[in-house]
Order: sequence, then C-alpha cells, then structure tokens
Amino acid sequence: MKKLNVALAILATVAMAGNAQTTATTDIVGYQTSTIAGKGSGSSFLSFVPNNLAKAAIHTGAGTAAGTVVTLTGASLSGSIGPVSGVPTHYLLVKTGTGAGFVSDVTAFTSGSVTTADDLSSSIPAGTTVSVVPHTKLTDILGTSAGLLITGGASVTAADNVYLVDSTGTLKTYYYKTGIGAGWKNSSNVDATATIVYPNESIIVSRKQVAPVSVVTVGSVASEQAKIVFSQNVNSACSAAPIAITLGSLYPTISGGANVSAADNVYLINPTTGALETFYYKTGIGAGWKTSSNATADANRDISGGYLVQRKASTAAILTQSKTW
Amino acid sequence: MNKMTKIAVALIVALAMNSGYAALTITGATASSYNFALSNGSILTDGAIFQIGYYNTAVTSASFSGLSSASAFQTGWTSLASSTANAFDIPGLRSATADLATGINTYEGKSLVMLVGNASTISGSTQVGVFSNSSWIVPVNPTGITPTDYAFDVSDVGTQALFGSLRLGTGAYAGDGVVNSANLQAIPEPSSASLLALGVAGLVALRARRKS
Repeated sequence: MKKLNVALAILATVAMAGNAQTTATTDIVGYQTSTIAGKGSGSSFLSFVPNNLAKAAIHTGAGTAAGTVVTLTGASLSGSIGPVSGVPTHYLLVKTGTGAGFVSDVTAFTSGSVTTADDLSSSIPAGTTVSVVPHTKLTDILGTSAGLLITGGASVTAADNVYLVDSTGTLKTYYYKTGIGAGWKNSSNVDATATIVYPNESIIVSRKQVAPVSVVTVGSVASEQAKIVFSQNVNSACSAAPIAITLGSLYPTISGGANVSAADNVYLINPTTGALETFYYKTGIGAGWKTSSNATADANRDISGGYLVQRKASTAAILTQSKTW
Repeated sequence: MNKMTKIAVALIVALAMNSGYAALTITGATASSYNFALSNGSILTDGAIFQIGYYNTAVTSASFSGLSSASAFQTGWTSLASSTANAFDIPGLRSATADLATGINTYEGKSLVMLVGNASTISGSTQVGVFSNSSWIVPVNPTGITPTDYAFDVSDVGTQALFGSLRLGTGAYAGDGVVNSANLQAIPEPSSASLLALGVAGLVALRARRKS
C-alpha cells in the first residue's frame, strides 16, 4: 500500500566569503511517495500516510534549558513562531544526547529563546544541540483547493475522510469541504486549515473513491534517533525515516499481556479489506505476536508507513528508534 | 495537540482520559445548497437559534399546525446540539454537532429533526422552522477506535418542511448567488389564534342555528 520510493539528496551549500571558503552541510532531504488506496469493492478503504520528512529548521544550535524555557545560543528568532489561534506553528527538537528525538511544541518565543509545552530540561543538558522546526500541516501533505490530493465533498459523509489523533488519544475526523465554505474542516464543520501533523505521526485516510492517489511528501530526514511516545489511549505513529521497521520492534516497548484485552494493542490496515486489524504481543504460554483471534502474526511485517498503538497503562511507553539510515 | 509531543516526565502525570476511544459525531447543517431564511425570504441573521435533535414521538406537519406558541414546538423535543452562529462565516448557514462518546447509545435509531427559530431561543422566537427527512436516523455508536461521522443537511434528497417551507432558487448566500432557502414560518399569535378559533366556532354555531 505504501511505497518507500525515497530519493535522498545531500544538499551542500558552499558559501564564498572573500578568499575564505565555508562549507555548510544541511540535513538530508528527499521525497517519499505513499499510495492512498482506492476503495475497491467496499465503501471505503483505509491507508496510512507517514509524516517523517520535516520542514527545514529555522534555527539549529546549542540550547540551555531552565524548565520549559530554552535559551538558544546565537538565535535571532522573529516572525510567527508561537501558536496562532491556539495552534502551534513550530516545535523544538532535541538533536543530540540521550534525549535526542524528543519534540515539544513552542508556546512562546523571544529573539533568543523558546518556551515549550513540555519541560525538556532533563533532555537538554549543557551543550545539547536543538532545532526550532516549523510544523507540517495537513495542507502541506494532502493539499488544498486546486492541489487537493484526496476527494472533497459537501459533507463529511460524502468526502474522503482523514483521521488524526487528538490530545485525548481519540481519532478525530477531517475532510475537505467543497462548494459553499470550501476548505479543510473537522467533522463539526469548523475550519481546520491550520491542523498540524506531528513528526513521526501517520495520517489515516479513508478513501471513498475507486481510484488510488499518490502522495509525495518532501522534507528533511531526521539526522538523529527518534523518540516516539505512546501515552494512554490511541497513538498514531510511523517510522521516523523512510526505512522499514517491523511489528516485532514495538515489543517490549509496549506492553504485552495474556490476551488482547490485557495487552497494548497495535492496529494495522489489512491490505485486502482496508480495515483496521488488531495485534498484540502475547506473554506467557505461546508468547509472541498474535492477532486478536490469537492466530500467529508476522512479527516481521513492515509497519513503517503507519500504525496505531492503543496504550492501556496511564504511564507512557517511549520507543527509541535508533538512527540506522 | 498530539500526544507525540509529550515527554516522559510529563506523561508520568496521570491523564484523565476516560472518554473512550471513538465517538459518534452527528452534524446537522444547512451548508450545501440551502440557507435558512425568514418567512419573507430575508436571510436568517446571526444569533438566531438552530438545533438538531428529535421528538419523542413521530411528527408530521399536522403535529405543528395550530400551535400558537414557540415553546409548544419544544414539547417532546430533545436537543442534541445547537448553534446561534453562522457556519463558514456565511449568514444564513448553520451547523451544529453532537459528539457522543463510545457507549452512549441512547439516541440510536432516533429520527433527527432540525428546529430553527428567529431568536436566540426557540421559546423566544416568533418564527420557527421544522425540517425532517426519513433518512436522518442516528446511527450505531462505534465500538472500535475509528469514529463514525454522520452528517445530514437540508439539501439531502427527501427533506421536508414540517413547519415552514423549502423554496427553490429564492435564497442567496453572501457572494455566492441565488440558491435555495429553508424558510421559517410565523407562529400565529395566541390572540390571533383565539380569534380564529372563535370565528370558526361562531360560523359553526351560525350554521347549526340556520339548519335548525
């Protein structure tokens, strides 16, 4: 369903200043093509679209954290960096150290510092490199108006649907409304143009048309490991880079259990039916990855394009995806 | 905000998330090719009430004929959601959403109705519109993790005005040309209704006297 046709290009910028020559190397950038499957013979078909290519950082350098305030050495931030109408526009990314890969929304900023939604200070000891990165929006991936990739409609019922997980761990629906009041809306018809897709989050698209759609995402590949946090209820995630990861790699980060009710659940899309299927890691007798009906599941199944984790415990599980790319 | 931004320390704090994983979202609107209008055709102004809900018994146009107060339209009525603001910043359009958490199946199978007034409350309105459609039925609340979204609109085939009227090519969205309108209807004032009733009674009595 998802193709990882990744073309990577290392962009190097050579700046000449008089007789001095300075070479600055940017992140690895490239593109990725994902396929949103057509509905086939059913009424709809689900597909994951991964968001693992980031926009270019607006600042990268040493950070010093005191609580939620991170002072950025050499920064000169300006413009719209804080939230707009409550929607964050940028996030802080920890790039080095043991906390590399953690991200948190920027809630406020000055020329030389940002305030983050979460206290990252324990992950930003002196000398840690951090970046301030613009959020990727839903519109960046699926388009808007003339460049819309999925099919809009007069109502959420008629249009292709897009699901993203909200802060309570619940999937929420979005669609592109056509005609009167055209634009991205949530299922309550409230404007959703500013909706963001978090790093390493997967978008779920419910396609109601027969024809499949290709989605090309462009951006930087992470130059550090990823920290993917699974908190209570549903979490949406994907591989932190356009490389394969397996179902088996999620355990023991997520919790197993004696049965599907006790264990954390992983939801993947059945490539034939386009519906979500439940998997879990069974502990004890017959330990291993199972389907919800306790059939043996393929632990080597590639889940890089997207997966959902339903975390049962109130404490979070944090998956560290090592940088292997 | 997505949970991916939560870091370990923050996430140790217990999160109060007991609302279930999925939800049934019901959105009623006039947002496709109709706008709400008053009986004289003028666009329903912002601040006027729009409700989606259901009556506890089946209703027809006969259920509302002869009602002489706006509050009478609320007899047996359960409002699931309401809005007094326009939708999409366009006067005359409305959208209201009921978000039902998993496990709330109280409304499954109910016949949905739109109840519209020309004031901020139904009881304070002098004009009311009641619109229904046999296909507007509250669906089953999902039990999985993916939500169910049910949208219904005045423009759906089969919509009928139980009180008020549906007029083709009479309304106008701001800047979008002539479209259709779902019009409210004036509620007979109690005095008028009483006079009408008295008049009818008088005619009946007169006719009876002449026969005798």
